[in-house]
Amino acid sequence: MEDIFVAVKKEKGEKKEEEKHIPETSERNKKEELEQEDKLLDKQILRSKDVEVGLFSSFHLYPANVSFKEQEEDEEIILLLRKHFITNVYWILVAFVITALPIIFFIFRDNFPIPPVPAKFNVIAFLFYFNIIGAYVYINFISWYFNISLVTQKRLIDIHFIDVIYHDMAVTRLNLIEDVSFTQSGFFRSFFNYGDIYVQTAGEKMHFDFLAVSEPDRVLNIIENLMGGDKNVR
Amino acid sequence: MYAEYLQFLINPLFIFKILILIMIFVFIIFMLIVLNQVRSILRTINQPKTPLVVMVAIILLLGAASLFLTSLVIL
Repeated sequence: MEDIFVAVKKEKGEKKEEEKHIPETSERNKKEELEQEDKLLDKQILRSKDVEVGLFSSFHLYPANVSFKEQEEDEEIILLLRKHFITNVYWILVAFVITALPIIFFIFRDNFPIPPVPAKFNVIAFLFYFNIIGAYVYINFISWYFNISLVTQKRLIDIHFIDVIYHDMAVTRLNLIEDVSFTQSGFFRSFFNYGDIYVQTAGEKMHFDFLAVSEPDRVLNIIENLMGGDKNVR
Repeated sequence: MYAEYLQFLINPLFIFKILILIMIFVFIIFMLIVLNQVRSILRTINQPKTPLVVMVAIILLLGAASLFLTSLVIL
């Protein structure tokens, strides 16, 4: 009876040892995985630090060769944000359609009443039309390109460039931020992973809205880490 | 006597030419404002690819100016 009793004890002990052993190995694996992820992210950051911001880039960590007015000497730009490029689809489609219109007009010219003007007028009107299309595309592009939000380790900077004739720059310190939240609703926003970030501050400008930015959850995480004093965000 | 010399003023093609020239001139002014605004925002933020953006504005402005001169000559 004693032997059986001892044997049962041993089994329990083995099981306990096994139970102890399994969590230890799984913890080790998790640690190793996390370390590997950290290394990969560090590599990504190092790579992105060497890379300049592209012409069509909407999310850039540690952008190289970017600076802004009133930037402090020890202030580093951590994140450069623009609206997601997919938000430009509307005007790009419009530009394609209006570029194709003269071709459609030329193909079906018999169906349209053509004013009796000399050919040289048509040539000038044609060239002027394409000049206007060029200006339309350019203005829409720079409206997107210069609408930038910057995150540094000290401040949030929001630069607005609206309808060419208006631009302003708003700045808030990270210690004045009271609340950060984001919304991502709708099929397109979920599919292309972009959304709006709302920052509530105690400064003069109460709200900072980063609209239609890429990877809003990551941006939110970065801002929260910076608020918590973490300087190596990714 | 002078009415004969001023006949071209009521010519519809002449009026059309003046309208086209005015439109191109307004467009040139608009492009100048755009270029000025772009140069102004460059003082606020400096990005690596901005010289290319400014160059496109200058090309558009030069295109409009050359179109104005061309229409002044050939129309």
